[in-house]
Amino acid sequence: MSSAKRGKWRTVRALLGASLATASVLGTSCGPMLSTVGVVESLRILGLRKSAPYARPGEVVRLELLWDGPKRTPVQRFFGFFCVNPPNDRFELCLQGEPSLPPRFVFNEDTFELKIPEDAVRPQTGNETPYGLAVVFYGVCAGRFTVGGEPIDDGFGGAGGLGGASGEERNDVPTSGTTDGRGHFTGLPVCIDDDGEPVGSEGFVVGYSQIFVYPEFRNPNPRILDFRVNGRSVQVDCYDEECVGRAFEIPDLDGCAPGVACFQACSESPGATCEEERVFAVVDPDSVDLDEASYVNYGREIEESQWVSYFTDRGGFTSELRLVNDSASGFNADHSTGFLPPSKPGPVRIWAVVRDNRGGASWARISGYVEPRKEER
Amino acid sequence: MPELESYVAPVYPEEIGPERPRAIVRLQLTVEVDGSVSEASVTEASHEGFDEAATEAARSLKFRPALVNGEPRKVKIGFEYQFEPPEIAQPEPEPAPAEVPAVTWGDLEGSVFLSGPDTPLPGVDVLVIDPVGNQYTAVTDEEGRFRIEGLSPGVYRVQIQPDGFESYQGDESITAGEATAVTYRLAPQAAENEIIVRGERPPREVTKRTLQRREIERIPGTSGDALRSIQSLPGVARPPALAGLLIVRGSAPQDTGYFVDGTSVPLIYHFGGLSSVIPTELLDRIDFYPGNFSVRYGRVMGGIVDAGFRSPNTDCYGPYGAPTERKGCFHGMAQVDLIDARILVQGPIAKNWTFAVAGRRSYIDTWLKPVLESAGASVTSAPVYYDYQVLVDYSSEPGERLSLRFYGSDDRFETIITNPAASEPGFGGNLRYATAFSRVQALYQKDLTDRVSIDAQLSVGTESLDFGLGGNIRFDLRSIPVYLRSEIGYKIHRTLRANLGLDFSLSPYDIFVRVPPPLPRGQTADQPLSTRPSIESSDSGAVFRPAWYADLEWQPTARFRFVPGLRVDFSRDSGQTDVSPRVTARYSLFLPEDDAPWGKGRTTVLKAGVGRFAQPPQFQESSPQFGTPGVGSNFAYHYSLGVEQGLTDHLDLTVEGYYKDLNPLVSSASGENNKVIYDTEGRGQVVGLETWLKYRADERFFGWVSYTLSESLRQDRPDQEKYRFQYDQTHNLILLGSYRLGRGWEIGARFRVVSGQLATPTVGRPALPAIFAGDSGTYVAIEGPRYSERLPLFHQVDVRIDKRWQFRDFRLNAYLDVQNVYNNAAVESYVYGFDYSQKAYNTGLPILPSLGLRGEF
Repeated sequence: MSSAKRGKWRTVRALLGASLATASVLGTSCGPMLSTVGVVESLRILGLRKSAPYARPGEVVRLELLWDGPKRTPVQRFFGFFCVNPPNDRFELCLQGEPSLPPRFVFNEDTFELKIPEDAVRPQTGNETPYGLAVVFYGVCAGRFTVGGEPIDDGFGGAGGLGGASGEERNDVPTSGTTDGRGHFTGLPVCIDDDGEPVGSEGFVVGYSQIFVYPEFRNPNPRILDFRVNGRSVQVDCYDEECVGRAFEIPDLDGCAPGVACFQACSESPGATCEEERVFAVVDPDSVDLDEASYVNYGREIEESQWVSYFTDRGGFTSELRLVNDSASGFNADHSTGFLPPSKPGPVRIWAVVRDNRGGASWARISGYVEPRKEER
Repeated sequence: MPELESYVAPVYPEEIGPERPRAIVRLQLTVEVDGSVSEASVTEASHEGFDEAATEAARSLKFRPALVNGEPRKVKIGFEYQFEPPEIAQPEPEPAPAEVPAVTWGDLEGSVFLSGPDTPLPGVDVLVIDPVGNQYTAVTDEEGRFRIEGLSPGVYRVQIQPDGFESYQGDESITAGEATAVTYRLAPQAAENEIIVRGERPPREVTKRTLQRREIERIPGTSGDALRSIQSLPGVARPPALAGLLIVRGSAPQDTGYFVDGTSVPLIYHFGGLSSVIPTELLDRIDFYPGNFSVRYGRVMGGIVDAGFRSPNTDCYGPYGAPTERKGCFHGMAQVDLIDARILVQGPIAKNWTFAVAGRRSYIDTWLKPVLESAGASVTSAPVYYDYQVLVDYSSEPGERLSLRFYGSDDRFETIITNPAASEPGFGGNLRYATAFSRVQALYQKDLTDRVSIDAQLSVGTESLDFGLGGNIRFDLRSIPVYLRSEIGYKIHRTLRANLGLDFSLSPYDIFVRVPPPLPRGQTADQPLSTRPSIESSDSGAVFRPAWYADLEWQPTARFRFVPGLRVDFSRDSGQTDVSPRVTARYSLFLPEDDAPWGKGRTTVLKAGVGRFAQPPQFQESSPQFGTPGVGSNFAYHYSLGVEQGLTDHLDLTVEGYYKDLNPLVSSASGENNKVIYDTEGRGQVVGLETWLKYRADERFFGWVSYTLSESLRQDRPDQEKYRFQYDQTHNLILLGSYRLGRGWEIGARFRVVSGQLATPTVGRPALPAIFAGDSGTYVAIEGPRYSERLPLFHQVDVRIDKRWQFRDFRLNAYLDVQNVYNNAAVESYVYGFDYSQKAYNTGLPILPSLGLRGEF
């Protein structure tokens, strides 16, 4: 994409100074209260995991979707695959013009299998390693999906409130003319409520994922070995595919039990500070791989980057994203974060999703219990 | 007053053309106690070419000295010569009208006091002018008293304009046989001289705008900072809060060049634009050219700010700041406010040698560091800046000046980010920002003959820019720029002057960069920037950019001035040679002596300019390491047309329209392996109209109304849509004024209404504002057209209150400068929630009072 971003030392100098000065002056004042990424207050996709982040031509890749929300409600899902090798690897260009593959959509499944086309790898210019790119779209909807104004099914809202009619597959979803000229994604399924009104981002999330295709390179997913709270291992609800399809699963806890993460409620008193609880999704350092494909850029093989995102349905974190590994400073053994429990006692869930910078992902979930503060018991 | 004893007629200049006009030259003469004329200076001339003949003749005049209390006194008087063409010249010249004996019918007597404590002001010239223009002077004695005897009955204009005090002008009635008694109280001036902020300096540029020192020091919201006063002039956009940027006529900030006496400097404002790097007290002038500047300047295509150091002040003053003729005195100044403190010392070194030493340091760090730490930040070094100046001047005769300077500035900030933003987990650790520059500069100006002058300078300096964030990002730039500039002016004919100059720039540099590269293949898009492995690059070299220029100042008549010029720039780094022809013209429809329809003395000047302005690519755009070698230069074509109209004695109106065609502009595109490549496919247009209604300072008031209407567009590729430039501001209205209440009190206010900043909106319902990037866990905003949303209107009132005390040997000034007095939450940008479904306004500075105290002697 062309742009007018001309490097401007003087402007950079001035703007750097300005931003720092602004941060200095304004950073100490109260800013607008915006929701944070680590607290699941609306329907959310927390992660997408591929069986092969780097796939080979012809390989079948399985995708798993981790999603959840604050309250049980019927939720529809979709996966769509119709695009390989968009110009300049720009995913949004998959939604313009004719699709490069026959469109294939699957609704109301939490997993999706696709076969990488045999001819996905294309030669590159210069000394770049040949590769291909497959783009998959997916989404969740706390309402009903429509495509082109037509509902895709009349009988959703089935078992478990997770949406029925699982496994429905349609291959005739039109994808041409999918933007309205302003970048709006009008061709993908749209989520509407019972009144036919569009559902906003509080109940509708659309995502995309890239699968790089190399004849030789592979990229195993990172691994989470353990989950610790304040230095002690706790009971883990699920890892990776065990967590798939288990949205809205409220732990059946009415107090702290052995092995269960236990937290003390945060005081509601004005000015009181919360006790910070350390939660730690322990990532396997051996799951850090070499990034072979970056040899062209760096002139050497370097380690991939990894970072872990923490989520909770109640409370908050001191830092929602922690760096696990980067090629400059290496493995960050302490990638724990501070959990700030809610003030209201009761069950709580915490997720950790670790990703690498080549499309790999892994996750785990724990259930815990927030006890009343000692002085309130 | 002195009486003329012997008259000397001026010689009609031979070089005056065939028109041979009648000419009138008015002079101010200094008549010594022996009646001789020690100084003669031209105050007004109806035509060019007669000044020298008039002053030469006047120095030979002989007077009977003026008597004050029976003692002969040195006085200044007005005098007038009338030049007649030789063929109609009178065989015996008539004495000037000022020498016509007056009938002695009445007296004027009175006292001149310092405003406030009623301290008498001795040695003050009191000028009295009768209805037909005869002038009478007196000088106050030690008691501040004066007396003028033998005045004809009638109304007289009294003018008192002592150096160092505010001037007085008023009318007094003289009655036959009576002595009219008066008392005048004068307030001390805040400083000695005037700083001139010139829009475009004639004759080589299009127009002229001036701001007096009093105006600069009293503009609310600037804390008396001269360079910040530029931001209140028409054609200058409001920068984002705390951004020390100058956005001139729709140009990008880096398109405006900053100079100190012709030497380029990298910045003029400290951290966040809080104050400028050159203190007001050391400035003699600020040349501000918003466009169509002369060929003397190049390498930028927007505007020019050229600040000039003043010669150190060694004038001596009497009690309560009364001026004297003596030189060789020392002066000092100290000022403190909530942001910084500064000092200045200046005085003589030896005969013809003077010096000035000044410095400033902020102390934001002393109070901001605890505040930041209480907010959870681990601060190593809170923002701090300082600047320094050392000047040594030599001048043995008028028209000669050798000036040696050493000056510079330093801004730095350092902190430790322990909890990085959720979206960028790798951006933690040590955050450091520092920028500094210094210059050693030698400047020499001399009138070699009455036809040839030279202006040369050489400077060597250092520049550095350091930025680091954790281990991932680092940017270090070091350079040692050398500037050589020399200009020779030659007066070919009384109507024609040629200027020939060179302007060389050589900048050896070392640069080290550690940043994440463009997204490598095989890595997921939209991943946090800080998780990308950084790559390191370094480069050394020298940027050599010589330029040569020439222009002609042609003024065939008093009404018309035409200045064509040509500049040739070469950039060794890009291999480009840029040729920039420029032309400016001014035509006076009405001169001061004309009977204009709206009154005598009301001038009307039409002005126009057109020119080509080249700006070589930025270093990183043409660097083999970081950019595209051989990429071409940016070009702008300036067209302007305007009128300057004098409305009253104090009210001037300037209206100027302009159009700028930016073609081509360097723009970037994504190349192989996502590497950024630069080319010259960008385009831009700027059109605007500036209106400036200014009330020039009188004894009580100054102020102006400035309104700029403009549109600035850009286009990245010829086949792409145009969009509004990031800093485009359709409307910019500034009203300001300052009023002296008396007894040293002055109050002023500035009101600004400016179009809101531009933002690129995210789409809203029914479309989603963002799409989830599952591989990185981030959200990608789905944006609408670039800079297509105008944020709410900016409006703000700033108020300034000053109180001055004049003591016998020093002066004290206290001020309260309050920005944003009604605490308007001006919208600067949007801030978004993690998935762009929520957004809120990021607002600028709240009410910001600044209390300052300044003392000087």
